[in-house]
Amino acid sequence: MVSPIVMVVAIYLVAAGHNAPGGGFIGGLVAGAALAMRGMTGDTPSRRTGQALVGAGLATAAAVGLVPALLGGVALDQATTTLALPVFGQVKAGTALLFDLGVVAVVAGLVAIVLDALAAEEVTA
Amino acid sequence: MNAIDRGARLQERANAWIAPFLMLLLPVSALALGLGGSGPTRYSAGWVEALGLSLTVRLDALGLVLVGLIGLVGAAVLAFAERAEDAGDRARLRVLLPAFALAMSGLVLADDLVALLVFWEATSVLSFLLVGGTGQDPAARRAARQALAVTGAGGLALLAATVLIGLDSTTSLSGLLAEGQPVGLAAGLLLVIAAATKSAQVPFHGWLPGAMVAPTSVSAYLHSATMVKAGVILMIRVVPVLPDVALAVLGTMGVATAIWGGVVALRQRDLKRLLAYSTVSQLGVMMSVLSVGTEKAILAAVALVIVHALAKAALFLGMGAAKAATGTRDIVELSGLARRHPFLGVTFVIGFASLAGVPPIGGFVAKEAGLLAALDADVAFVSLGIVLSATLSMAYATRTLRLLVVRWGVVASRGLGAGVVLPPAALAAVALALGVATPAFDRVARRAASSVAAGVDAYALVLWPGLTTALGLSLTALVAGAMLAVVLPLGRPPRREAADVIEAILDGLGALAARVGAVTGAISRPYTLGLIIALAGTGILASLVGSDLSGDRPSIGVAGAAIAVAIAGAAIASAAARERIAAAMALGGVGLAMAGLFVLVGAPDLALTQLLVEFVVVVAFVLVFRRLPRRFEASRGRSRFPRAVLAVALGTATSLLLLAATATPVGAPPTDRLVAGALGPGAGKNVVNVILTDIRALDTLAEITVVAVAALGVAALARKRGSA
Repeated sequence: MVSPIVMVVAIYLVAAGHNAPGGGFIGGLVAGAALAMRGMTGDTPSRRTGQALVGAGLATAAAVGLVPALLGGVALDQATTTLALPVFGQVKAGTALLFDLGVVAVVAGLVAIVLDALAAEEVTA
Repeated sequence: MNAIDRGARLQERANAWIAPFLMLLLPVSALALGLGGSGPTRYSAGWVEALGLSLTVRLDALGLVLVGLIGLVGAAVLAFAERAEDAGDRARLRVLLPAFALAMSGLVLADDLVALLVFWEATSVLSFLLVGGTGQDPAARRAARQALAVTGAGGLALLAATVLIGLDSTTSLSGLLAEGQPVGLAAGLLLVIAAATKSAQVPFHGWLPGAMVAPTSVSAYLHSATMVKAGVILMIRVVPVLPDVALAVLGTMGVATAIWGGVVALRQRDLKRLLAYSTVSQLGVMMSVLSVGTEKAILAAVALVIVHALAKAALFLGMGAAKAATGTRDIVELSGLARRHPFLGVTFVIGFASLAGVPPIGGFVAKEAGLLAALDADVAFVSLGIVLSATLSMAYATRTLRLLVVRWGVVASRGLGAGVVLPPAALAAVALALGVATPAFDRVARRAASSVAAGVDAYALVLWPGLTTALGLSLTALVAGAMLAVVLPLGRPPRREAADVIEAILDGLGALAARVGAVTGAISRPYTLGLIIALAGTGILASLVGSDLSGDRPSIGVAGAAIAVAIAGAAIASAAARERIAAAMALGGVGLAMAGLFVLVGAPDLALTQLLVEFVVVVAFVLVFRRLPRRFEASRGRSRFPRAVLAVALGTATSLLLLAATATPVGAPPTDRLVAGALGPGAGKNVVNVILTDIRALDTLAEITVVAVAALGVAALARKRGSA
């Protein structure tokens, strides 16, 4: 029951990271903890999820970095626009946020894998 | 048959046409660019501009001709694969072969050594996947591992060469040629080694015959037009700037390879292995011709690359077709094949005649040019090597053709579809045409060679060179080879092969690693840990000798002092704790207090991270402690004292390091610049996060790559534990 709430906190941290304390690494840690919690209580194996997250995250970050290079700019450069969102008001969103999402996924995946490995080892030993 | 089945069949049939036709776009577009464009076109994309790296490709004639070759052979191979390979292989090949064609095209077009290196490594990795197949077959796994180990080592040599050349002058290939200065000796030798691994030169040739476990299509593509040509192409690009010693090494290696490959090919009964060793031999010929280093030699090498790619691909595919028809690759068992499959017979005749250099096929024209170049430059041992390898080629060609074409055989075979027979026949037809229509071949090869050697227009490829020494030597080689085939009985293939040596080396490395692991593992863990801590502490102290510790530091105030006391208290509590969980909790206390300190000095981001890491670590501790005794084992008094000394020493060293680090200002702090960058281009108010995701995004990308690799490692370890 706790893990969805933790997830929301993680998402907030990532979204807020651009202008307030928060960001990819921190959000990833929280999300990873949520995943691991879900894995330990339920029977959803968090290791597979973790592996998928690590791969997807790395691919996302690399892809976001490559796109500007393909468009003729400098790799890892970012584009920004200002969005008017209902709850957050005026939000400046850049592709850096997408890059950050990749970071989130990798870190969350790692935490999920490690905690799952530590938890599972005891069962098999 | 229901609609879904019909749809699936339709899809299969469409695939069989679509993939080869898409591949054909490569030669078509290369031709269009070659005919339409005037002079080479450069395309450059910024890459890591801070390091002066750019991804530069140059569409020069050599690159376009090679791209055309890659596409032409690729289309034939794909067309063959769609009709001859298993359904599972087909799906994989449909992805991997075009990917390989792409990497190879990048390699031949790259105008920068760094870009070339990236494509070079891509071909290594893709060849690993192609040779390894599904990974189910141990032999395929072994062969793939060998190919990756050898060509990967070559990639490292190329990397080292690139760095050396980049330090000296420029990594741009056209820039190097324009400067005209030979590269350094070490860089030159490293380039030669890199080329030798990829192009299977003695003593790095073992992986190539081993890779013959791969399906026909893979061998036909990798070992004719693409993978193994990468080294030769690299050499063609850099030969004008190689130092003399490197050229001599290249020549020696090439001649040895040309002869050795021919000798071993002559002892093979397995047609595929015979073709593999013949490839090794031909690559040796190309390298030895290149080592002559003249413009004429470069032209000859380009011609050899083109014609060998076509002929060898035709032969490999023909071999695959023969296997499909009869179920065997043994040349004795294949006796009389041509009578049942005349089309295949003609393909084999043209292909082998081209390898042996029989007029009027393309192979003759190219080999003759190589011989002439070597004779003109008075490099006797290269001339001799070419003649000897031509003799050996003629010998195995004659023997194989006698069995396959001349002899009446009783080989049982089934009919073959046109889709299996036509691709090799088409490639053989092109190889034949290159000889018959020598002027056209000459134009293509000369334009390609002119990209590297400007004065190449003074020479020409000809079918009838007149009564020269070269022609005499060639004819002697042909006669001697034919006689050798008749006289020499079919021997047994050598039992020990070079692949075994590579395998032994790799196994030896593995055993060494296991031994080292066993030795270090046997030493008790406190000792190894103590050693690491002692080394780290000594290193820190050594780096501090003579540094000034007094500095002007901002005060942390009363609150800061209180927190510092809390940190010290928690640390002491942790060290004094008798129960594991208590120690972990005290350690957590240290972390929490630190987070408080971070908040105090205005680093909320750091504090938040510290806090969360602390939480996750506590969770990890709890999970681990479930398996361990509650209390620490009572350690004996003897080992307690040294441990305490070590711990205190490391702590002191670290404290001193921090003092020294904060005492030495290294230029003006970059804070203002970073904050301005964050608010401006970065467009964010959280400077730390903008640094992570924008200003220093490359660092972050590298960091999460490390994190991902660590995650893979943990996952693999956990699985191993779980299954054990």
